[in-house]
Amino acid sequence: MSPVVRPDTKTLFHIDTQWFEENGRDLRAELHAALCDDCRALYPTPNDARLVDRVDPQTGEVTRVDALWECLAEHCGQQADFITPTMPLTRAIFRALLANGNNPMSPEALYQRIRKSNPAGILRVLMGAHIEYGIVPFQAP
Amino acid sequence: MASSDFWNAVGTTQADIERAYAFLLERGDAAASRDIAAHIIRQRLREEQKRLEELAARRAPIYQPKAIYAVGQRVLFSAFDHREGVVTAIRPSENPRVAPFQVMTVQLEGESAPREFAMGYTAPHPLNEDREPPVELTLSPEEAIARYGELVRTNLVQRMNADKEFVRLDDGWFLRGLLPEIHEGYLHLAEAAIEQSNDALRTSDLLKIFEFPPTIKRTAAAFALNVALANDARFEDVGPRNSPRWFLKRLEPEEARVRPRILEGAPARIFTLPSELELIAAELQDEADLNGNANQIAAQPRDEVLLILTYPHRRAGTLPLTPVVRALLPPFDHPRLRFYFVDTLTQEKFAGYAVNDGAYIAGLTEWFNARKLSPGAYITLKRGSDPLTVLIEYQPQRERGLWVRVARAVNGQLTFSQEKRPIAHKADEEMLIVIGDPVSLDAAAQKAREYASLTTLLEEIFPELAKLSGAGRVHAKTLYSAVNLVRRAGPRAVMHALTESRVLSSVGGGYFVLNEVRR
Repeated sequence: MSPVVRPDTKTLFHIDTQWFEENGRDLRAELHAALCDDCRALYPTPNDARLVDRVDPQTGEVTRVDALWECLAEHCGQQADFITPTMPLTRAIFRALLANGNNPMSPEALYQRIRKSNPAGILRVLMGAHIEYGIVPFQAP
Repeated sequence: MASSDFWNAVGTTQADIERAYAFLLERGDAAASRDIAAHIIRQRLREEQKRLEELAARRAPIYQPKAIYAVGQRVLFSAFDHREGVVTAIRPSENPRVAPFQVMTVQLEGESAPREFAMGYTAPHPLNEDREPPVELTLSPEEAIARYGELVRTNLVQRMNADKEFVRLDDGWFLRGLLPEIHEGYLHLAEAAIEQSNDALRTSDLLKIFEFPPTIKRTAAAFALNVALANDARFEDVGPRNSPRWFLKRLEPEEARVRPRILEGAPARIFTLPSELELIAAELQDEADLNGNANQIAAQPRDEVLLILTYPHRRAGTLPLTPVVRALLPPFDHPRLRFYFVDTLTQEKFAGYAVNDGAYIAGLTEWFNARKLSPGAYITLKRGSDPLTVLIEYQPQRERGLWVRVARAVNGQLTFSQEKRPIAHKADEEMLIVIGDPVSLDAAAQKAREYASLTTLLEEIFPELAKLSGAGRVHAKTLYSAVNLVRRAGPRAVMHALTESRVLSSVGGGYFVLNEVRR
């Protein structure tokens, strides 16, 4: 049995997509709501977004990914107004993970991205009584 | 791969560690990290040249997303270790967000499942940039070593430090598996030999005592012995750089092992002094101005250095290890260098210890005492014919009674009087102070710690010295010598403190008076 490690500001967190299903929330609706205007024009509803080709920025390899995730990571997430100073902290954290393609991030990295609160404050929010947006500690397979 | 990426990686990989291992194994001897790095650079250059020749021979183009390929064409994928793949299918892209491109299916060598790659993809992409040659193959191995040797050496040292197969002593590296075993008995023999000779012994001297089998390489034995001695708390390397000499710590004088408290002072700051005081300070050799940094290189090394003995060093049995003094000795990196003083007048030979931490030389208590030297005494150090020998002399004179400054403390206050005392050596008149009562001076030193500033302390001492002079003036050197009876301060710090005083004024020639006297 692996030892229980207390999360700290270096612990990695990610969006657990299954949490949305288990809690009756619609992840695709949340992703769609986060799209920029240009991408929403391409995909007026969540169902309009299918699988698309994504070109790896280092190798040129093409993989098939969900269009909503692809837009958020490659386009909307790079816009300056994707995360705003007035945005609630939990939503800012959610968007930072979307912009990172849901690759796990630590509170320290999240702070660098969103520039709100501080790493310890972000950790407190993530470890709070209620899980928001399915953000949980990442466990490697 | 860009050239900088290539060189940043050399020395960091497991393959490089294996190359280093093989190098030492074949050599059968220790090597410096720069030599191992040079070997790896040469090997990597040869391998890279060969790899590029093989790539060129294949005639397949290197993959770029912007290019167009045909089904059946062979392509090299630089991001996948330059493996070759063959295009098996082509289709249009599917992503309304980006400009249309094509997608080719590729079967890469060594893989069972095909991959897809973009082609006709003109958006910015690192692989679309015009490529520089992967490695500067126009560089000769010697040029590569000169340019990248230090980078590779640093990478390599980091990896070898973390690998238990490698053993390190200073910058010598060897393989643990090749080191002959040094039994505890050898170390006891070494201890006895050093004690019997009462001298630091070279590794080669110690090896002569042991009877290693002739199959063991002498250099391997020396390395193994050096490692064993370095890891044994009884021994210390007190030799110059790259020339170990082993001594017993318990035979070293206390003042060589622990910096005497009387030499400790406040950290030195950088001051700009008036030119007259700058000249005076520059002539005074005092490590207190160096912030304990003994490693500065003398601007103009000399073969002879004149020192004026100060009270802290007289009490501690030490001398300052300033850059010009250090230049009389060979370079050393360990905490202490053991060498010999030779008295030019008596030819007496005794051990001295140059100490890095604190920048001083220890071992002079008996020599000072035997000659009854007072603070202010002239001492000359000269380079010896042997690198580990320094000639030392004072300037004796027929002992006669002279009217001199005598220092003592009354109720914790430093006082001076003019008394006739027997003096048997020449001294700097401004700095000569005979110690009337060393114990009372310790009490005065305690009290002096209450003075927050050196300037205030100098202003307190000044009248006591001025009363001995008919003109009421005191030389900066006298004040420097006097203040060091109760507080350690370098000459530059003292000169600066004098310029800060509102009570004392310079009257030229290095002399100061009380302001009220000037009025």
